[in-house]
Amino acid sequence: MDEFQDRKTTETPEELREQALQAQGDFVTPEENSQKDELLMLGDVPTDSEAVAAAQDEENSLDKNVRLLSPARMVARRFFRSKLSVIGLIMIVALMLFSWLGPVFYNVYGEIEDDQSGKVDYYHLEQTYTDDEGVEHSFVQVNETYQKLNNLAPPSWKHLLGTDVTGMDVFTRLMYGGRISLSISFIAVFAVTILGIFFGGIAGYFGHWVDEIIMRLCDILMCLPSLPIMLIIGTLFDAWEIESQYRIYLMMLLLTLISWPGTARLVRGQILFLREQEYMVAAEAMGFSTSRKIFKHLIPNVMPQLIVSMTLSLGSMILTEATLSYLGLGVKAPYAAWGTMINIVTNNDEVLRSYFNVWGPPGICIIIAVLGFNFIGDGLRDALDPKARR
Amino acid sequence: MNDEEKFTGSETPEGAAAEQTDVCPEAPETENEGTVSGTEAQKTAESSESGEVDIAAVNAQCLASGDFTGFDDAYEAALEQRARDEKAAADRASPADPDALLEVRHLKMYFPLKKTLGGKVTLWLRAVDDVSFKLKAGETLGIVGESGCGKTTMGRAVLKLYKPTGGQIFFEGKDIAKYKPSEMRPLRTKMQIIFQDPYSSLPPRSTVGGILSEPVKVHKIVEKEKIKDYVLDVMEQCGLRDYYFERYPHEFSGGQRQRICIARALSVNPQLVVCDEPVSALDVSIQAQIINLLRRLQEQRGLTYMFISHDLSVVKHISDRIGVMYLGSMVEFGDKKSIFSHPMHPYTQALFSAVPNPNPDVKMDRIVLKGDIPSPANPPKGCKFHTRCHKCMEICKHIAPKYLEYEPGHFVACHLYPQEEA
Repeated sequence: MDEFQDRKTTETPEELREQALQAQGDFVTPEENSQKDELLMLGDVPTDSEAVAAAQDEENSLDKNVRLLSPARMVARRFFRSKLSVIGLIMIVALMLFSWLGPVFYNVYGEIEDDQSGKVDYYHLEQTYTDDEGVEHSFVQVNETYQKLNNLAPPSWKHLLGTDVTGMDVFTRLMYGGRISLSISFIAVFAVTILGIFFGGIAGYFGHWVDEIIMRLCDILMCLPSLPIMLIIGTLFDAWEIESQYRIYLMMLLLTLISWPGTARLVRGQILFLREQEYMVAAEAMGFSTSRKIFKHLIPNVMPQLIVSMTLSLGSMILTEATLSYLGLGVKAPYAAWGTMINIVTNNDEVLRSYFNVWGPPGICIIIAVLGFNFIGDGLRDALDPKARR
Repeated sequence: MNDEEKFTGSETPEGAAAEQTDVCPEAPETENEGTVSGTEAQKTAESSESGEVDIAAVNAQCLASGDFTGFDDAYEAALEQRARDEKAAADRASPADPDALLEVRHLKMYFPLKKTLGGKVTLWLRAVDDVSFKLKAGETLGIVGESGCGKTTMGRAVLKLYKPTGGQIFFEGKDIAKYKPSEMRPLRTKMQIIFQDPYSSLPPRSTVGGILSEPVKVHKIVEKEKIKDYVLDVMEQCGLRDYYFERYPHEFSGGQRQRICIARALSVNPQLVVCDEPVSALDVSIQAQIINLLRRLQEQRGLTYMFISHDLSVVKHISDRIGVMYLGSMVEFGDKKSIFSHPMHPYTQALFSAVPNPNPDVKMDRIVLKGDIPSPANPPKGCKFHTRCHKCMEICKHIAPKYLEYEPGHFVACHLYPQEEA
């Protein structure tokens, strides 16, 4: 009873409210903020001018103390609240650290350095035969061979994931392969997005015959079968003897040239919608220049959808790169890419059957990368949806 | 109705011109600019030569007798169109009224609805059809009318947010109707617009400060260092607190957003502000605040408003002059006093009778309009309002009334009043 009275005397309702506010202060949405404003105004019944001034001060300080939540920060909050998107982010960050920082620390072997330390191979041969008296005899013949190239070594401390057919360290190549696969997908997606924004933006903003021409071009490009074209261009690259390090970049740039229509359509649709919004009419009434309207008012509002589609297409670009490398159109043999590393199994089914450590890890890496990008993309899409609360 | 249309359409000597929807709206205008040829006598001669019934004579007879059987609507409509175009062409040369800040003459805003494969438009939506008015500096013009009568379209066409199909718009004595967008750009600071929906008229991804300082920056209203002070000053005038500067539009209520919109329009120091139903999306107490803010700003800055609304009590509160629109045309225009004391057009009378009166003792005799507003793509023949008019006469169904000045500054288009020009 005493305690209760004590508390009553020390804490006025205002103080309690302030405490409650401080406790919540970490995250205050605008809705909550406005509610508090109302509460304060209802709660404080000013009796004289001082009280009015005090109430005004309190309200002002409260308003100024509330942390501003820009749309970007609200999106970030919603993104990190979803477990799946955080997992996706961790997967991708881990893969990147593995690929770019890994070779710095684990630098025992180079990307195309084969292990010439030599290995001893034991070859067992078991033979059974029955003699004249019907007794069974069995022999085990052990052949010990020595070879200089330490290929197809099993995982050990020396080679964490063993070596492949040519004696190169799988773990090291996995890291170098990751560099190529990840950077290629980023470059390609970036190029696709730039082209998509450019053509989609023009088509959506200007409409009429510009729109017609660009959209029909998109239709034509979408009809083209990309794989046969890639096969033809791969053959051409062989004929022109283009260095194998660069051909994957050329290949992906060519791929972007025929895969921008999807992004362009997305941008165009979005701009058609935004163009009819009243704030664009207001921008027109303000006499803003066309480029200002496009780049300062339209494109920033297309970005959310674009970021989502970019993230999702990062995953598919990695798959495409792997496919091209697997088919021998991308990174060529001594250099590493995840797809190229899996390519080994095509002409050596002994490896496919008995050496999972050679082709399994790059496959797992591809799965992790694609899954990670898709998780991030899904998380971003949910976070950027303005209808989703919190 | 439909059959009659087809029949008369094919019978007329100027079949193409008579079918209003077939005419490319700019064609007759340009044709008449050079040669003002279409006199009635000529046409009579043409039609009697070709061996057809003398339509002009029949029509004149019908008019005189008051019996409209056999009256050719399409022919009459073509005559009217021609007369209107001639008048527009004749007015074209006359100079702008030096007293008026804004003078609109025969403004037409048509939108193509149907096109042939070749791109020729076969059906026009006549959102604004031959509207004329003058607006003096410092005054407020209230535009009233039902939804879909072309109020908003006219407001935007006056600001050249659409390219007008025809007519002249004089702003400060210069005809801006044919200005290119690049020529309009410096004029944009002088004419601004406030929109109906405060939720979609603010860009969602910029702060209030960013929204308000962008036009100031683009038009170089003040020096770069002074932009923030200037914007804060404008915000204060519009009743916005200084710490709203860093906030985003989604954090505000409708009334505050509308204040931001007003502040944005005023940030470039305009002379004319088109208020496109600025209060109809707000609740009543906020409406009063915004209206009072607009009036205060008008006094402080000497603004000229074109106030578009369907709410008569709001328009009565704020306007000096009132224009009543129906189906893309101005049916009545005049001083607030003169229009409210004796509305002349039956449509205005019906509108005013629908204003609720807070005094329960006053018996309201409402004039109820039947039916919906007809489509502006296919407006009724004769007077556009005749389908819903409670004072409809036989002549209203066939001949469109002229838009005439009956008292100084009070224009009406109705057959109830004498149709000869004074």
